[in-house]
Amino acid sequence: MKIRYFIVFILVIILGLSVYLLVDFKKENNSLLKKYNEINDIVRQNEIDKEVYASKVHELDELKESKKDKVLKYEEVEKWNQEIKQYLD
Amino acid sequence: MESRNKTIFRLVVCVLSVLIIIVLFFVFLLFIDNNKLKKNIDDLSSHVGDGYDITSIDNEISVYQNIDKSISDKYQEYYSNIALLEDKINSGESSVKIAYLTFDDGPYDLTYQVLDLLKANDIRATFFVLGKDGVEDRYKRIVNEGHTLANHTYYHNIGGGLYDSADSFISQVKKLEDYLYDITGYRTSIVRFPGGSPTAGKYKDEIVSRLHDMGYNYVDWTSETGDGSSKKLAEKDTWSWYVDTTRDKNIVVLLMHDYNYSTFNNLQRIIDDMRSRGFIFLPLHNKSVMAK
Repeated sequence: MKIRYFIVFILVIILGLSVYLLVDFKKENNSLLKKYNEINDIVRQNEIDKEVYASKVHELDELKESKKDKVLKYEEVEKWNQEIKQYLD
Repeated sequence: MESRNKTIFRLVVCVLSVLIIIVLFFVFLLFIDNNKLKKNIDDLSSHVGDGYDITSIDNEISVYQNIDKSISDKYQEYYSNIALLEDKINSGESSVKIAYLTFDDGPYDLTYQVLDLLKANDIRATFFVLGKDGVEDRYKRIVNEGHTLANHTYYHNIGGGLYDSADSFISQVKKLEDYLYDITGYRTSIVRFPGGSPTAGKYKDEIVSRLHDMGYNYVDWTSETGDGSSKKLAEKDTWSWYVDTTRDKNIVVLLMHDYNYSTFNNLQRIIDDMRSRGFIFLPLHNKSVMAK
């Protein structure tokens, strides 16, 4: 009789541990899913940004080319500015 | 009784075993799924990178879309930094010295050579010009090469009515300002009184007050090559004027004239000497401590 109780007891313990494992894995699964979705959103956004960035770089290049002389002037004044700043630091 | 207990025991064992198998099956499924997710996350993470700085490139585009304003803002920043440096020099925090090379009464033919020499030395200076016809390219070159185009009145007629009244002086400043703006697109904001500010005599205070209302400051000088007194001054004399009047000064406004060959022939020597004494060369602006 005692051995039967013991077997039932062991089976209940195994069942308890299995449920514990299930809950733990489910928690981990939820957390991994959340992380996966976040990273996936970032990657998708990056893909969109990559195209936007490329078109903006193109726009910037065209803008610089169309105002070449003024861009050179701007960069020249910026260079003088940096020269002065080295005496201020 | 024993047989009934056995049956119940078997039933309980059977139910518990089935439950354990079902639970372990789901545990196994989750284990597989979690490992798959971890691998996918690792794969995706390697594609994340640093991202694209759209805001930064938008700002850069905005700078170049409004390039005229951006250049003007950059100049203002440059002048503010020069003013800060002047403060540091005057408070003894900086051992740097500033030389403002100024050329009055031009532009002349010699102005081209002066500009060439300044360009070769990578120096920005200040030209207090008059109103002259047929020399538009000289005004433009002064502005384009980063020098300060400054107002020295349209006619410079010291003995011919310039100082007869404040109105007379102001009208000449305005006339030259508009004339230069039409040619270069640049509005002057500093002025030098022909002969220096004391020459305005009793009208000086009124003129200065009205100049301030117009957004102007005036600049005299701390040092000179003496070339305004005589066009035939020998090179050794302009050199000694320079040496005598720049001694022991940390901020120098050096008065010269871009028609005078004696000064021009000394100019490279003056630049070299000032550099060896720790001077840097800058263009004047109306935020300068030297602009009153």
